[in-house]
Amino acid sequence: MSLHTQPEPKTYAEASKHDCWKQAMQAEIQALEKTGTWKLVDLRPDVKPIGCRWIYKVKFHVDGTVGRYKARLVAKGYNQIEGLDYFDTYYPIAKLTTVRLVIALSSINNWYIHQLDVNNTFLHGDLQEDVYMMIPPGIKSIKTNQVCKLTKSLYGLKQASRKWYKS
Amino acid sequence: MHDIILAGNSLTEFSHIKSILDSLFKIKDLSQLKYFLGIEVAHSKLGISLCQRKYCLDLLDDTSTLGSKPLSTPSDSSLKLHLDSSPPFEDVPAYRRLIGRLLYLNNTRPDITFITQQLSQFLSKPTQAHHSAAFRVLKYLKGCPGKGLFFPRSSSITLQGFSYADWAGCIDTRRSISGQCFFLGNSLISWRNKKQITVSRSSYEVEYRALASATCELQWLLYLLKDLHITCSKLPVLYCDNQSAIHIAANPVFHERTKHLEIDCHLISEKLQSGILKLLPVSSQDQVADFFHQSLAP
Repeated sequence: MSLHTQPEPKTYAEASKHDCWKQAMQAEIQALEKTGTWKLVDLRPDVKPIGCRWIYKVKFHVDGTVGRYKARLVAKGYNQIEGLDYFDTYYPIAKLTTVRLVIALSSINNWYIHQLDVNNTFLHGDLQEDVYMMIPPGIKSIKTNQVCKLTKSLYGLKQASRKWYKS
Repeated sequence: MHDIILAGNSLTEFSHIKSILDSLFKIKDLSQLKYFLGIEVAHSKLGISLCQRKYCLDLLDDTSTLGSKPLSTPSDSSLKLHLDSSPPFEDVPAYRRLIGRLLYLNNTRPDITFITQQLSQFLSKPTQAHHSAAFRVLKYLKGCPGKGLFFPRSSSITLQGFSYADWAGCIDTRRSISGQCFFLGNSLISWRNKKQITVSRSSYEVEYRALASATCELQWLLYLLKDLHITCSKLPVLYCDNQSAIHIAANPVFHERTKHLEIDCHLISEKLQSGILKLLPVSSQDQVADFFHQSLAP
């Protein structure tokens, strides 16, 4: 059993002191680059990019042991402007009653019940709107004064969940 | 949102679906369902049980009540919560957070449904009395963090619903509280406790209103079963312990005394006549939904 004593870091500066978090961020960056979440472009003077930050979370197993270190990059969607950066945000989710009904049915009929987890759910949706984001800490850009133009949806965007539903 | 549950009788069909999904998105196969949205799922020969033990213990840990003395009931049956004059509880966001977490625990804990509904009436202006009532719930949870639902394997596929109303149950507004619960065979799958939006002068009216909202839920469950291509072995039954409400529902002629009931309430008689459900009386002792209106007696 690995013992987790340090609290979860709040900032990039804190996290980058530890190998476990550096690896976690590296994994997230790789996933983002693989799906082509953004393109680096020069910052136009009329554009105000939204911010972003890293969220660090230790995932535990049910028995309390450390499952994995998870770093997730989120966009500061609260700075987005409706009609400019985003339009619809509606997203359907399953009612827990449905889940209970299905599990009860499975019990009666002796069905198998399996669980799947979609990795990086929100990165699967394409983004039509023009959303610019500041370059996240941990990613090097060659030129100065560049920003990320998002091509895929990212956690934290107002339209993130809808884009996943639509994809 | 990220999690998908597959249920069925063919593992080959499972792997087919998994490969299709995996080609579209990157998915991780977690095999048998064990832990889902904070709900722990245990499988056995006799059935499937659901509980939120970890979520509950985390809640107790965060509120520093892990060391408190466990209590056998979630609320004090002699105490009726209302807008009292005790000093206001200062940390309102903390109260709201606590109730929010209790609400999430309601996913597998019908035993705290009554008190959670009571406590959520005071989210805007909680007092010390409300806060200590909320802490009493935590002390109760401390005694049984792993309590949850059990879905037995030996069960028929039938729908049974219970409807109940607590006439003028809210002492501040004198509005009534309706409660309902639904069983698929022997498994409790849906329950609710809600303050009605209007004041009613007669007790049959509130029962009738509760019945109407129970009918809506029953209809929804039937649609869901239909979508899943499941047929019930018997006609769904809705139990109600108020004779007058049953008579109004059964009688297609609305007379003078029921004129004031709003039209939307009469959907129950429409559904009855179309034959999708049966309405039966139940004695007060056998009334299951009653459970959501009373503090549990020790």
